[in-house]
Amino acid sequence: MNTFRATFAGRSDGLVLPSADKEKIDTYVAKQSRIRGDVESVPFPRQVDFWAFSICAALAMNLPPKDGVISRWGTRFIYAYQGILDENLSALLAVIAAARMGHDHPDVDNPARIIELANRLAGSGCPVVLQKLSEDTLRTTPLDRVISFARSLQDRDRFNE
Amino acid sequence: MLLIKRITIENFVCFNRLEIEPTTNPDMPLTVIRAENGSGKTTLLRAIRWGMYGERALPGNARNFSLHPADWQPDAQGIRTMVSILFETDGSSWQHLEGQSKRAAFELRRTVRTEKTAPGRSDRPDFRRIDETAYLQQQRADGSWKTHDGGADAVVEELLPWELRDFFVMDADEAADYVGGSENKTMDRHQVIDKTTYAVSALLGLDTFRKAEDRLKKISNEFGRNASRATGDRKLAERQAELDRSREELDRITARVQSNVETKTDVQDKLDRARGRLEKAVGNIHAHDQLKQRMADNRESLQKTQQRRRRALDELGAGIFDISLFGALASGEIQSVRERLQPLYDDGSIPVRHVEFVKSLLERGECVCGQPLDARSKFGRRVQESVSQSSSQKEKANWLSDVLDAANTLHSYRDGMAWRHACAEHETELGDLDNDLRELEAVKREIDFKLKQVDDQEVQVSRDEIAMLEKQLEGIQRNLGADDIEAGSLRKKVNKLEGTIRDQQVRAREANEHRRNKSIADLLVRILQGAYASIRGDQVAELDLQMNRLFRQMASNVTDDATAENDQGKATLAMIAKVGLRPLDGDDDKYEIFALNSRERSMPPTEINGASRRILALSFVLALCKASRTRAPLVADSLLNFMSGSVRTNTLRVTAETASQPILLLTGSDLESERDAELVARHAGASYTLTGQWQHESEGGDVLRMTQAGKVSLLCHCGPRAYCDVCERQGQSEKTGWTRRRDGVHRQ
Repeated sequence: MNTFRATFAGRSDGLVLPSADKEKIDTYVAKQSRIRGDVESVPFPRQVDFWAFSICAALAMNLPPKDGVISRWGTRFIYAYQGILDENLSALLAVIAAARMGHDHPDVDNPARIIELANRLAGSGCPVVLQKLSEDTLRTTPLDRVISFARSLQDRDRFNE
Repeated sequence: MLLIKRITIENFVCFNRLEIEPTTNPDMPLTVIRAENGSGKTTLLRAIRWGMYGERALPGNARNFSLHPADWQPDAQGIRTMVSILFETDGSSWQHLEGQSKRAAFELRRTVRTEKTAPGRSDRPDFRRIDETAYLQQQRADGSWKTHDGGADAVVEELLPWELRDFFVMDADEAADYVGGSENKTMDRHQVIDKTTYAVSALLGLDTFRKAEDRLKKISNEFGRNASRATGDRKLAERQAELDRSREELDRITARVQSNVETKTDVQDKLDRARGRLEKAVGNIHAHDQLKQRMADNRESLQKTQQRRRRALDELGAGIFDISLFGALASGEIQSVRERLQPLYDDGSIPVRHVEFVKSLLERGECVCGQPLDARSKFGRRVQESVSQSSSQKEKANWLSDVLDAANTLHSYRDGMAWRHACAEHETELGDLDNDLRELEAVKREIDFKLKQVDDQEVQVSRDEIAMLEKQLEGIQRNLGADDIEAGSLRKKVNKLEGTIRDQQVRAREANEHRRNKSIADLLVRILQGAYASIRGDQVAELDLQMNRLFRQMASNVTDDATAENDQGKATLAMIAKVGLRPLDGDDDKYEIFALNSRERSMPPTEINGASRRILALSFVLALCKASRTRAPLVADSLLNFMSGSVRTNTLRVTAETASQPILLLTGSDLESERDAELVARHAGASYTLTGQWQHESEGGDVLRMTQAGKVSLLCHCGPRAYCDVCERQGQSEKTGWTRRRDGVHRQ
């Protein structure tokens, strides 16, 4: 099996999240990945985890990738070559690209395009995830809400199947 | 041995003249003198004590205490106060009355004259007492009287020693000194022990042994010195001098040990009190420690549970970026990829397996069908061309193959069950941990509440005091140990010197007689010591037994052990499991009264309520009289104070049945219950009522028929439930069970 991780690590493409949501995203992502604070109110240890969750949320909700020039709506928070993407996530991105572009698309194995597609999917999933996280209920924490959201996404997925 | 037949008092404070004849009937030995508060009970007791012991029996500064009546009109002659006590004795043992083989009557008469003096400084009285005399006279067979040669005070001291006054003329407040003082008084423990020891030794006759032993030791030493001198040997004389010095040093150490033992008892007593206070404050010391330990354990459990909760949360949180979730959420894309790429894999397009195979055929130059595949043949060129075109797509085909592999792997997460199970597991664990935390928090609150009930500062003060006292005790113990070693080595030295001297004395013929005498004296000392130890052991054991028995009788069937308001929180009779007398730890010649609770913990007097203390002191006094076979009157004031219900009845009954000649000064309220009145009627051979005549209505009292205008107390023969013109009180005639005396008025 190809090592997808090595493929992405060799690139200088950046992972992007919407600039407009940066402040909200920071509320739910730990400042320093090594120091986990209160998991219940800050459920994501790293921005890449939030980014990946947003992609999957967009897929589960069948949201179209966000349009437009990425640099106009997004902020790069990390470079892919820093090895932030683990093997599983890298493989998933490749699968998503093959599914969304089609296997015969010329850029189906182009890491830059795959990352771009992922960034656009993250761009459309991010606002939905943020909205779910910020739903104000007294007895639930952001962690409760994100898990509940994940469950509902799965149910929705199965229903659609 | 001694019975009071008559007490006559003249011009003593509120008594112009008073005559009481206590009963001497052995079947009805109780004499009751009923008197309300302020009617002169305590004054009567003081008069008897003054008659026996003179000025020292008066309270406070005796010189300022006026004995003469308040309404005395001073004149040139002054006024004469007199107390006469007529008593009967069988003269069986006391040395001053030796030879009185038959029953004999004596009269002890004490008089004093009070004169008016010119007013001086404000703190000085305007009177003085002169010509105090006490004399004793004995009744002859023909009924006439003669002065006794022994001297009144010496005989009284012999018969009724001052230190033992509470055994004969008892103010119950003072008698409580035997158990550490009455309600508002605390005595040093060594003073209590000295007082108790004196009483035990004197009444059991143990002090006679000690005195004889000391005397014999002195005689023995004197014989030893004489023997040494008689040999005329210089070295022997030097050794004798060294022996004397060593003995003196030994005496000094013994005195130091004695003093340290006393200090030790005081410190031990303070320690017991501090421990008692601490126990009272926190239930018991261990309970407080256990509470603190539980708190520490609870804190540790809370920390551990919180850590486990954090770990469980971390694991639950990690689920939201786990591939098992992502695989489930992207299952549509994954399925789509599998559907598209699997046919390509199946037909060998991905990865590029066919091209490699055809390449190998090209190298071989022959197809599987047998046609040549070289460049010269048309078929070969076409195959060569196709292979070249396919090679350019090889990388992409291999990529797609890897994508298919990845899709197949991720497909296993499609239903999301792995993620759901993991989540559910973590959530269940979190729920359990939250429950544990809630329980631990509840336990913490409960312990917090209990700990707050205890004033930590107060506990700390007690603990510091205990630590300080324990340290002090340790120091004393060390000193005692060191002194013990020093005394041991000195004793060895003394023994050695004695041995050496004895050896040399043996050689000296002239010393033989002295040596023999010394041996006899030493032998006598040993015999005396043995006898003393044996008698002391037996008698103290008997006393201990009697005391506990009497205490139990007085405390039996007590269900209404009521306590005064200021006694709240103190041990009641029901809490005292055993009382008695025990030799002091480290000094068998000293004794103290003890009370143990059901856990066999010694209860310091400060922990015991007033009624229990009085009963404890009374049981000691009665038991000691019984054990020592002392037959003497017991004039007791305030005996039933602080007592109520069955405790009062029991105490009254035991005193009436145990004391030789009980003369009790009681208030009307002491005799209110039917039980007590019946008890008194059964045991009382004589009863009187003492009435303060100044207590008429306008001054707050309620005597109806005041018979005398002065501030005097009058005595009538009214029994516990009778009244006459002298003592009648308002409302008495309406009370059931009370009767007017048939003989009407008794006047004096």
